Amino acid sequence: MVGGDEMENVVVTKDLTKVYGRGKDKVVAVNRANLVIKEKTVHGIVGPNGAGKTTLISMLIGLTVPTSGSGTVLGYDIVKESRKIRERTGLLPEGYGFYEDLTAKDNLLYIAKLNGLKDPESRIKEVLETVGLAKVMNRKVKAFSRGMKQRLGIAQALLKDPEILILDEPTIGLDPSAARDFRNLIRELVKEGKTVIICTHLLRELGELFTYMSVIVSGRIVAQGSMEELKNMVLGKGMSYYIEVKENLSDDIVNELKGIGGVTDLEVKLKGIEIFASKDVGDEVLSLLLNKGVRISKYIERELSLEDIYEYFSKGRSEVRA
Amino acid sequence: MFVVFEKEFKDMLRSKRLILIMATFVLSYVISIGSFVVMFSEQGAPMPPNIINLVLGSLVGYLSLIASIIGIALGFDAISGEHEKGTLRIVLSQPIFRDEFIVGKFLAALAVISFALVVATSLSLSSAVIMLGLTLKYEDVARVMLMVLFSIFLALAYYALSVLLSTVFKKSSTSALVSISLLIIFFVILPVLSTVIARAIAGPPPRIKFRPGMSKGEIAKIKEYQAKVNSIRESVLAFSLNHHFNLLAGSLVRYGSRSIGTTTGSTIPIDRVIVEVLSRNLNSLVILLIVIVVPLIISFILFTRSELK
Repeated sequence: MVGGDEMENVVVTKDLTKVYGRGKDKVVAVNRANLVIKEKTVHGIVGPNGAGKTTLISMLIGLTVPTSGSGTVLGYDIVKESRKIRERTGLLPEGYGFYEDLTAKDNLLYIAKLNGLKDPESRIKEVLETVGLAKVMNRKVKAFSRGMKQRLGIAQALLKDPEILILDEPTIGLDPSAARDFRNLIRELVKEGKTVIICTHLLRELGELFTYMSVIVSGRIVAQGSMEELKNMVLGKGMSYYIEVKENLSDDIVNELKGIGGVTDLEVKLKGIEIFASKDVGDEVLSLLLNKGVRISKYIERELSLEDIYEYFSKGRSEVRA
Repeated sequence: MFVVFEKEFKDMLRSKRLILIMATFVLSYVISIGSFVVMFSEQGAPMPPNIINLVLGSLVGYLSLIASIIGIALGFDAISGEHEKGTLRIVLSQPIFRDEFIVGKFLAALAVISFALVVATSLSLSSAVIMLGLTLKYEDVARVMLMVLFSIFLALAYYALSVLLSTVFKKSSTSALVSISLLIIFFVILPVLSTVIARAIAGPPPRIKFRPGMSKGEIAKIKEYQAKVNSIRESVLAFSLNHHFNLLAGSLVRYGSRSIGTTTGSTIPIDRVIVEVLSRNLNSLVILLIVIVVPLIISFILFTRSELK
C-alpha cells in the first residue's frame, strides 16, 4: 500500500507479468508488478525507454492480456471487465495519431460516439475549450502542429470525463511553453478530482507534478511511494556536495567527513569526493577541509533532484516500498 | 459496431482513391463503347442484332478489373493504416471490442463496394445504351444486376485478402504491394501461364490440316487435343479469382437473352438463365465465397488476438 489509508486505491495489481515471444525470443516486458495507485493523485510511472511502462498501462485497460498475475482498475478486473474500465478511463497513448483528413471536431465526434455520449457536441466544445483548441475545431487535423495534436490527444482522453487519465510520454516533442501549459492543465484536472497516471522517462519535465511515483526498470517495479517518502525516508539524502581537490584526501579526512552530523553517504572520486547529506552541511564540510589545509579547486553544492532518486533505484538497488 | 460502420462508410465514400477508380472505370468504358460506335459508323455496317451481348461482354472484362482494384483499395490499409496513423490505440482504448471494430469495417466495405459498383455500372451502361440507341429488356437489366452481384463478390474476395495482408503486415505499403502482386498474378500471369503449361503438358497439336472432307477420326483427334489443353488451362486458372468471376459473369452473357443461336431477339427467361449459370459454375461461386469468408475469419482471429505493445 502506498501512503495514507484515507484514499481509495483505484489501481491494484498483483504479480502482473507480461511475456512476449517464446524460447530465444522471449522477452519479459513486465515482471511481477505490484502497482498501487491512489485516487485523486498524480502517479508517475518512471523508467527508461523499453522498461515496460507502456506494456504495464496497456494491461491495465485491456489492450494487452497479462501472461500471469491479476489486477483491478476502479474495482474492475483488468481481463474480464476491461470494457468497463475503458468506459471510465481516458488514455493518451504514446505515438498516438488522428484521422488527418477529418477536423478536430469530427475526430472527437467519433470518439464521443464510441463512448455513447448523449450530448457529444456540447462536450466536445467543452473539452476543446479546456485544451485551448475551440477556435480551430473545424480545421483538419493535418494542419495542426505537434503541440496542437498533443492537446487534441488530451481532449480525446478527457472526452468521456474519465475518473482516471493515463498519459503515456505526454510531453515528448513539446516545446517548453507547451510543456508548461500541459503541467498547468494536469494540476487543474487533479483539482477537479481526477486521478492522473503519467508514464515518462522525462522526470525533469514532469516530476514536479507527481504525488506518487513508481520506478520501473527492466519490467520490474523497483521503487514505489510518495515523492517525499522516496526522497527522504528511502534515500535519506537531501543534499549533494561535489568537491574537487588538488591532492588526494587522506583516510583520516574522509573519516572525519563521514562523522559530520547529517552526512549519509560519501563517494571518493578520481579528483575529489562526493558527499550526500540529509541536511545542509556545506559550511561544516568546507571548514573541515580548509582547516586541514586541503586545497579546493571546485565546489558544487546542490539539492538532490528526482533524477537522483531515479538514478539511485535504476542502478540495481533492491526493491523498495515506501 | 454501427459507429465504426458509419465512420468507415463516410471515409470510404469520401476517399479520393475510390472516386478516381470509379471515374477511370466509367470513362474508359465509355471510350471503348464510343470507339465501337465510331468503327461501325465508319464502315457503314448495321449494328449486330446481339449487340447487347457485346456490350455486356465488354462490361465483364471491365468489371473484373475494377472490382479487384476497388477491393484492394479499400482493404490494403484497413488495419495496418490504423497502426501507422496511431489511431488504433486511441480507438481500442474506448469501450469497444475488437470484433465490433473489424466487423464494422467489413460491413462498411460491403456497403461501399456495392454502392460503387452499382453506380459505376449504371453510369457506364447508361452511356452505352444512349450511344448505341439500345432498348434494355427486363431480362437484360436482371443479367446486369446479377453481373454486378458477382462483381461485388469478386471485390469482397480481394478486400478480404487485402485485409488479411494488412493484418499480417504492419506496413500498408507491403500489404498494397502483395495485394497488387496477387491481382497481377490472377489477372495477367495465370491466363498466360495456363496456356504455356497446357501446351507443355499436352505436347504439340496433332499434325492434321483442316481441309474439306476430313475424317471423323481426324476431327475427334483435334477435339480431344483441344479438350486436353482446355482442361489443363482450367486447372491452372482455377487459382485465379478473376477467372471464376469471368466464368460466372461471362456465362450470363453466353446463356442470356438473344444469345443461343438466334438473332431474332427472342428472350430466355431470367430464371432459366440463373439456373443455367449456377448449375454450370457453382464451383466458381463457392470458391469466391470461400475466399471472402476464410481470409476474413483469419483476419478476425489475428486481429482480436494481436498484442498492442
